[in-house]
Amino acid sequence: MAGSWWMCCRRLNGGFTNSGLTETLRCFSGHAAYSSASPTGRPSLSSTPRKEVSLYLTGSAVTPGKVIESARRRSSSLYSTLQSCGCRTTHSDAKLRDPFTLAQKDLTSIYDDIKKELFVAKTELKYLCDYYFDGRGKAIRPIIVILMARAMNIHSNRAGDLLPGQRTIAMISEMIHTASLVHDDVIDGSDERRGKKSINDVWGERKAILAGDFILSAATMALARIGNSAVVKVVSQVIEDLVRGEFMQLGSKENENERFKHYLEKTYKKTASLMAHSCKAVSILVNSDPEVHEIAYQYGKNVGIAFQLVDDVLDFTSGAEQLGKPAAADLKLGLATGPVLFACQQFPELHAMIMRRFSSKGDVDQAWQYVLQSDGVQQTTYLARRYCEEAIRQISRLRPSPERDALIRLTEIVLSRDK
Amino acid sequence: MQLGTQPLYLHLFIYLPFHRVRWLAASFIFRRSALFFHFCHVFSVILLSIFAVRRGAEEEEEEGACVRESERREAAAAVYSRHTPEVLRLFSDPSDAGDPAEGSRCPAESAIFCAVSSAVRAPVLSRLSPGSSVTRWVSVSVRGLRGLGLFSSSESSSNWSKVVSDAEKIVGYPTSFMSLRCLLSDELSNVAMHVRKLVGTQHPLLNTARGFVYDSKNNLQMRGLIVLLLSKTAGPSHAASELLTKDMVSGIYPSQRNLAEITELIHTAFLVHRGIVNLKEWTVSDGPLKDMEFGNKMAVLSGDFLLANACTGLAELNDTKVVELISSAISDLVQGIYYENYYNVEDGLGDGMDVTPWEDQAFLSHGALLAKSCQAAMQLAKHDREAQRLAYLYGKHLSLGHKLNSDLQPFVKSRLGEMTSFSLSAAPVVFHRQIVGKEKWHQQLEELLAAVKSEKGVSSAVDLCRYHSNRALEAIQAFPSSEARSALENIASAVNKF
Repeated sequence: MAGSWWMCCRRLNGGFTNSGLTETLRCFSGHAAYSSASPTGRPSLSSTPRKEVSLYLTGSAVTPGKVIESARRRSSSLYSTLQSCGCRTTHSDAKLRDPFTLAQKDLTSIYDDIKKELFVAKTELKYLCDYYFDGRGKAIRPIIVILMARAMNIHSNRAGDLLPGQRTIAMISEMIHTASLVHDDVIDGSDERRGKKSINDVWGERKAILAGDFILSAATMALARIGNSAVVKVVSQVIEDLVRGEFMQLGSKENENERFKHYLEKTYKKTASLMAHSCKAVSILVNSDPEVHEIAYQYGKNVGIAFQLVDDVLDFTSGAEQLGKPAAADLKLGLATGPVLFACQQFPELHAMIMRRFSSKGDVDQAWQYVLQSDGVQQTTYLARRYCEEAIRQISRLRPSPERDALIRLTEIVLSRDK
Repeated sequence: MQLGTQPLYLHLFIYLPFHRVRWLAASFIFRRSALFFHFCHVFSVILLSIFAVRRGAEEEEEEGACVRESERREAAAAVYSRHTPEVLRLFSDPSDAGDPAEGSRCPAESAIFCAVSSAVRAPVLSRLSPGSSVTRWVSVSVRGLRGLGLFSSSESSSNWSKVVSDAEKIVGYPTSFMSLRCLLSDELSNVAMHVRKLVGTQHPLLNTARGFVYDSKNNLQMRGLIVLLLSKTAGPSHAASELLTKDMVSGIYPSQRNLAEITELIHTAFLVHRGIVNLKEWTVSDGPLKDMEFGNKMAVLSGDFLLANACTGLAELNDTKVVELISSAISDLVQGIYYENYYNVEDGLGDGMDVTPWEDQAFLSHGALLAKSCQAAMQLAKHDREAQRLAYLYGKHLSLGHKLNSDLQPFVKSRLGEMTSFSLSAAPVVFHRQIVGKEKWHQQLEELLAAVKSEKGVSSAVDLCRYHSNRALEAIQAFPSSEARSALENIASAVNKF
């Protein structure tokens, strides 16, 4: 077993040295406390530089300097799996924890199945509904759902394969998400989404809204067909939360403390609720223990909030690198997100700007400057990291499995993505 | 505008007996002041005032106007204006229904509900969505239709109203009223506050909102009522054991009541979603672009909110078959609405459509919701497939009949030489086009109204309406005879009257 591990590492890296091995062993001891989920083992993982992760993900050639780093990570994953799974045969260690690869089999046909659900006779409406299900999205929600379902299945003493109902929930999560995107584009008046023109830009607002409603109704129909009332209740809660979250964005609070609480709640409703409830739903289908449902729910919730926090950070940072000017889409919409709220503590001038929703001339640029000068971005990232740690703590209570580790890996990916 | 100043307006409404003057006064007031600011409070106050006026008119027709009654009414109105949300919650609590065996509460309260529910009629089924310059003349026609009123002739309108209010007494619970609970939530009162910014623009949301308040004569916002009646007609469940007879209020299970409410919510949500404007077709006369965008935003949010509440309500029913049915009704509705205006726009200049696709499309946009809700109500009480099928048929044919009825109004009511506007996708027109052929159709475009009236279009549509009404009656015959069933029969027959 160790032999095959060694050989495949060499195959992958081409320049594996002994020093790398000792480094790896040192790292193992750091990760020994992994399963008990103490925070001490975490820093080395979470401090992974961003670029490396994207290289890792795209699978392009790695330079020798980074090889050791990535090898260390891969082998550490292998070690913990060996530790916990005993004699489980290991394939390529990269595959073991990579969420995308693990979920790949189930994911490929998701979009086609979704299109089958959107059965409608009239061609134009069909075209509109299929518009966003072309595989270009990140599909992070179905991936989370699929991995959680498998992890739950293994935890509940069944085979890892997905039940049909769980598969449907993965589809539904993506459909509900897309429907909300379509409506959000009309509400925000945006004309681009996922690299192409938005539906309201091409066909007009009326048809966009109707298409969104249609996707939603198809999702509800698929949900009903699973035949489980508890699941229906859990997922329909999401729809209500999505709308309430959107309403929450309309209002704004005076008090600073309230503002942050409001922001977190809005984040939960708009992003985390879908993930949390979908995870809970798949766990309900295989397991009747409410504590297990709660684990799934908490994982989804924490990852969701972290996901949105990172998203808000990227709104400030990615524009600077790639565009050379502020993207600041949230500021332009008048929304005060995490970085801004943190920056407000250092620059009280932001208070007034937040209250008037950055409507005055020059507000957006000024606010952007303040945020970058302050430590708003760092604080928000730190907060996201804390949420991820909580998610990992929760998910570690499950029985070990590749999918569970992939879910842990996913939190890192969430933290360190750049788009 | 403070709550305290409202009684002034209240008095104004109560003491203006003439409907037309009252309508004018209301529209004047609405345009000028910030009444929308306390939309939810004023809304219910105005409802009550309309109730007061209409109730007064009805009581003159019937025997015995009771002085004590009017005193109670005014007291109730005063209470209403002060404690609206609490009062509404009180009134909408089914446990207050009083003696279930009797089937209604004390007369005054049920009277309030009757009038309130008939007052809160959403706009006409065949409402189109104005806002784009292409269909602007059609929007004028819709407003004209609204002004005409569905039942402007006193005879047929009082017949219809009587049928409806009798029906409402039978189920002992107001129906259109139910969606109010949702409308009065925090989120939507937030929306209402924002909606006042739209005053002065041409955004359709404003019309929809107004329609909730004083469109007392129009429309058929009575899907919920029909679902309730059908539930009562079919009677208690024979199959299921977990549905206890003692849970029934006025002969209707709580789950069926919730279903009726959900149906209304969905219908309202789509009324709101119909009123969204394509910004690219915006013209200066619509009002400032920013306001139109804002109006769209409000419309999308409110519609979504109502739909979300409908979804959670459906989940609470604990019956996945029903969830599936109603979701398929929603998708039918979307398909129907999608092509509602499509044919309309094309129709004016190019080829129209024939009767059969028209009927299919009309079913999708108007019939599917009611038909499937009726079927779902039967499913909730675990009635057999046959009962479900019959309920479905009743709902389908009644709604088609009603659509035809409302389409026919401009043709049947107006006198010759009087210019009334109407929709080109109305049934008589579609029939006419089919009978007369494409070339002549183009020729007759200018003299359309007179031509339709003189050719067989009107009578064919009347025949079709009669057909649907009869099919609905047939479907309902299979159920055991009861008061509720007779009410349904009356409704189906009333649809046939012109």
